Amino acid sequence: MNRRRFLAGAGTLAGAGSLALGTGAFTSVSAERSVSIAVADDFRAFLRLEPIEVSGIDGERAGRSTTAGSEVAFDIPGTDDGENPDAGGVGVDSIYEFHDLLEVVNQGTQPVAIYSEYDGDALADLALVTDAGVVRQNRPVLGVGESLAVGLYIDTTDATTGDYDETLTIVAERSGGNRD
Amino acid sequence: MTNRRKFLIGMGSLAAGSAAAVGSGAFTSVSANRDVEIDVEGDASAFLQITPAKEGESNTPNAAEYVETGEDGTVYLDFSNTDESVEGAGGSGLNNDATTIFDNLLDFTNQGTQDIEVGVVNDGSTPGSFYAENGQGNGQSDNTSFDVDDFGNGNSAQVIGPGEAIENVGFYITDPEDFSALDDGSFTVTFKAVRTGGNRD
Repeated sequence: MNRRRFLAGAGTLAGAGSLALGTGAFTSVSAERSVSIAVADDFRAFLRLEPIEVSGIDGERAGRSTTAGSEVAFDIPGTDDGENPDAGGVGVDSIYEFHDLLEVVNQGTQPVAIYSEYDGDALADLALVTDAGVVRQNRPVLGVGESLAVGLYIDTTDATTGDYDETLTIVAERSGGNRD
Repeated sequence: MTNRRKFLIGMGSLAAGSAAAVGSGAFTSVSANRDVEIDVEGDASAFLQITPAKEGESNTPNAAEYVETGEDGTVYLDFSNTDESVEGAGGSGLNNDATTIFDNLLDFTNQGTQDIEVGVVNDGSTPGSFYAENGQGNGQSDNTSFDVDDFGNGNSAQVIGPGEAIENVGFYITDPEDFSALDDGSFTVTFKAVRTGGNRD
């Protein structure tokens, strides 16, 4: 009952609007339209990102991927009890791969290609990696509802020792045609 | 007045409907920045720890003589000469036309959280060979191989669990002329560690 009344009201409003436009010159129109945006936590967003709880030493969590607030974050070495307490980090002049840190799920309605970008300069390279290797041109495509376990590829060639706070950009891009 | 109130109620249900639609909707691209905190360490404290071979608390004689640690924290091997401060020492290279064996140079310790296979990537392009303790490069069958070709084999590969080490890895060379042929007398070796077993860990 309420809903029907609302629809009638909206119809009237739209009619009035087109009437105003129809009558005259105008310099500018600034029309505000409502855009409804829900910002979701990573684990329920369109591109769902969820830490994989890798069991480390004694079955404890290593804490190499966590959800800090609503966003996932990575720590190498891990911050939980399952991490090896002797490990200070990755070695210099090395290439490290940590697989299965994060589950990426396509919760949109189209297939998407997954890749990553890194523009920092502390490391020679930082990228996503899957069991098929580091993700570069061979971007894995996730169908609707499909998921993929990804990890970190860390290249420390010519890096210096130290603690770095880097940013990895995880990208999911519609694969295929133009119009969506 | 009553109409306005009704309208607002209507808006409320419309917004709810809209949000539900967004939740299942198409998207063209998502680009999400996420924090990655990484500690980069020298060989001595990395996940794959590479250190001069130990004998008790101190380095083995060969490790003390031939294993160095660079300013960047990586270990390197220097066979170009011996320490002349040691009484009677003073050699400055390998014998020609001879096989030279260096035992007890490096220890490799697994500081990760899973079992790993450790070895050297040997594609035949570099002189000499590395071998696990006291193997002197002669064994493919007696658990002394340190060659990455054996990865995944499970029989001869060196597998170590967290906290365990492959100790006293050595180096031998049968053709010292191969060294002389190198541009600046040095080459790079790649050591590799790969987790053993299945896909998801």
